Amino acid sequence: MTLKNLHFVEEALRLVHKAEQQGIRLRILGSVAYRLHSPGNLHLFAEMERELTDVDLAAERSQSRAIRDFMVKEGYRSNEGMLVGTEGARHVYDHPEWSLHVDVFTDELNYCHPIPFKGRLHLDFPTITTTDLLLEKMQIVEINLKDIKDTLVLLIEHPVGDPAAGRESIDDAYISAIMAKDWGFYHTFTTNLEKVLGFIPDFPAVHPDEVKVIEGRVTALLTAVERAPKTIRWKMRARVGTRRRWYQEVSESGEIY
Amino acid sequence: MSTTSGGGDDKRIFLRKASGLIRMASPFDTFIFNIGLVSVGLGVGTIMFYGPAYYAGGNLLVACIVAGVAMACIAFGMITWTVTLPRSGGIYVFGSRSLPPFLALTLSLVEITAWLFYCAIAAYWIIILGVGPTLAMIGYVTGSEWAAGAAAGVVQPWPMFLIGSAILVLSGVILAAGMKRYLLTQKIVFVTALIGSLLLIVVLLGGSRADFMTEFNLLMDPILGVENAYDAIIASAKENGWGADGADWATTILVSNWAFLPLIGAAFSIAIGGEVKSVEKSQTYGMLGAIVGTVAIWLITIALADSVFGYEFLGAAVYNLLGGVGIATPTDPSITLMAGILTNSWLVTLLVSIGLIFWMWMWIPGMHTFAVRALVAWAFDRIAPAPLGTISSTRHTPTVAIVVSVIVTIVFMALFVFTSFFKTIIILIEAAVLAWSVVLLAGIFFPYTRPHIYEKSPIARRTILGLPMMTVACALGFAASQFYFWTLFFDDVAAGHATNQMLIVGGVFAIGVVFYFVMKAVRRSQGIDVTLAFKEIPIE
Repeated sequence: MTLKNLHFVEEALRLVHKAEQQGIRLRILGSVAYRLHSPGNLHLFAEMERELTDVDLAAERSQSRAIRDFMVKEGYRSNEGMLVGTEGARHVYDHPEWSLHVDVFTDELNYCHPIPFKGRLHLDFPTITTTDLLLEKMQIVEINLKDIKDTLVLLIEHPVGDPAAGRESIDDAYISAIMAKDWGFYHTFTTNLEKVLGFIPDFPAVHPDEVKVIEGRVTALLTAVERAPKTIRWKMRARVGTRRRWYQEVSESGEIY
Repeated sequence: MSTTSGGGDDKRIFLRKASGLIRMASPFDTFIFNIGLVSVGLGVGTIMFYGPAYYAGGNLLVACIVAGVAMACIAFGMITWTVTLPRSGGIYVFGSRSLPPFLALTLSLVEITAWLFYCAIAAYWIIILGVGPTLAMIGYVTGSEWAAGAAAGVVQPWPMFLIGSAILVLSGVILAAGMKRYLLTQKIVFVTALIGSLLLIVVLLGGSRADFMTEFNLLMDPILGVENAYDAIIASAKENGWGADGADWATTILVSNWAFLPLIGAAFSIAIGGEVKSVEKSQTYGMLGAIVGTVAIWLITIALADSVFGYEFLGAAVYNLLGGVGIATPTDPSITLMAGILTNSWLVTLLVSIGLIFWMWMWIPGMHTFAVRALVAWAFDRIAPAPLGTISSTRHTPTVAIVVSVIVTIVFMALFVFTSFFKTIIILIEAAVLAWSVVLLAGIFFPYTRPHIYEKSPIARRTILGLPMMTVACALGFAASQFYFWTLFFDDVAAGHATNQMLIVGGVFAIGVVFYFVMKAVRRSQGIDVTLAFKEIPIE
């Protein structure tokens, strides 16, 4: 089966490479990045009907002006209201001819739980790291099927805590360190990982051998996260639990001006 | 990027259509933004200062409640507007989608002119009502000649202009540093200001009329050269025409202007509508919470101040001083000064005064913010020069709009300090109330005139007496704003309708109309039809 919008992948790569040549560091995240980082399992995206909806990029805030100028030069229309309203934390661009929407997140992905990018963009190319890709999905409190599909493929193709695999490996120590400081993120992360396991039977395209791989990697992640010593703040927040909101509220998409 | 939030059980998943958005201002930030723009301490100060002196017989407690109810009606209307069109820019956002374009821009220009004017007044008052009296009181209590000299020095024209301008520039610097930093500073300032207000209440709770009279006479008898200065001030005011002949409804309504004026700030979060999280909850909590909280503090403080200082004394002291008659205190008999005298403590005086100064400060960046958001919104709609919407490359804030707002307020500051006429242009508040009133009137019909927008509002399905909630809320708000427009119109102390002042207000409206048509012509020459921006559907 052929998926819609596969040309988004080409465009994302074109933007990242061209920006890099101009000294602008952009990295791909979101669904396009999952495809790029999982070349061995692209058939799963097709079989699970994982459509591409937009292009998301990570960047450094200090390069905001340069990014805006670059994107405008590439034919994109900048949403200036979003740029002013978020004070450069998020850029939104639309290509008037291709119906392509591009989000650029600077320094961090700040939704239900913040995922820092600052100082981490050099770790991989042309996407953010596999570790950050996993965190990107696991920070979503209202996780949806698209996110679960992406996570399943990521976990099939990427080992956990395996230095020999280099940048293909998911860094369980880094994830554990984040979770050990923030009970809210820990709760969302672990809940979502368990949810991913619960959804495996809904995707017959995932082979039984792959199911075992996923289960093993989820278990390894959960074990690492549980073992990491927690801060006093984490323990105090854990006592309150879900009686108090543990994540940042996210509004539906909208305009600021 | 797909994201939204909420809770869920093990196999519950969600459908999301688009990327989510993190907005900056929480419900608490919105509340602080609004209550800061009410300026609780300044409000109680002006009510107690002008109320008994110029509205003798008016019931200050009832006045506060009447003003609070009216402002709650206006806030209700504004809440329905900002929930329906959750964007930053103040009434420009609402007017631009419901009124003829020239009128929408004109009302917005009138509104921000008034707010920038009051922003400059706040800087001026910080010196006149805050720094000067504080130094003077410290001078009296401690005998410090330096403090007394400094008190006299800071109210001279050039020092006042320079200090006031520095205050206005500081506000601009904070805004240029970003909304997050601004909201953080507001929290710190709010807590400090609130401590000052609560300390005043504690001081009043611990004092009595007899204590105050003793301390006042001890301090003022030698300064004024009379025996029993407290009674002498009251007697001389009565001899010169001041009188309190008992409660009077008309006078109570008029004195409520002084409560209503600061309470307008409780709805200022319409300026940051696009930056507020959970817009319905935040705006409702932020606006109505600011009104209820403010009125509660006012009622307690006024009741205690009446009891300790005495209504007659407060009225007589200000009446004598401002009228230049009878026996008058050497400095403004503000509630801060009275509290200092009551406790005979420079520390209490300082803390209460800092509270007052901080309340006044909260007006300044808040009103600058209001103007900046409107200027940026104009720029995005291309009815103002594009640079007003540009952001700095380092802090990513709308620096040009901030600089323009600060410069305008410094010009106003110069007009207050170096001329006598502009100190009296308080009538601009009437123009702003009228601008809000027109927008609230448009809101009554909005669900019928722009149903394709209104039906997407979260309140679209809510009705009151079978009518859309927005229609009822805006009708109440329109009635309340009209009530206070006319109450202010016929109150020469709070605003009035002097011909020369009315001409200034008319001039501001005229500038708005001319500005619109000039910009329209400029844009047309560039091949841009600005009216198209007003036809956009701004809701998702």
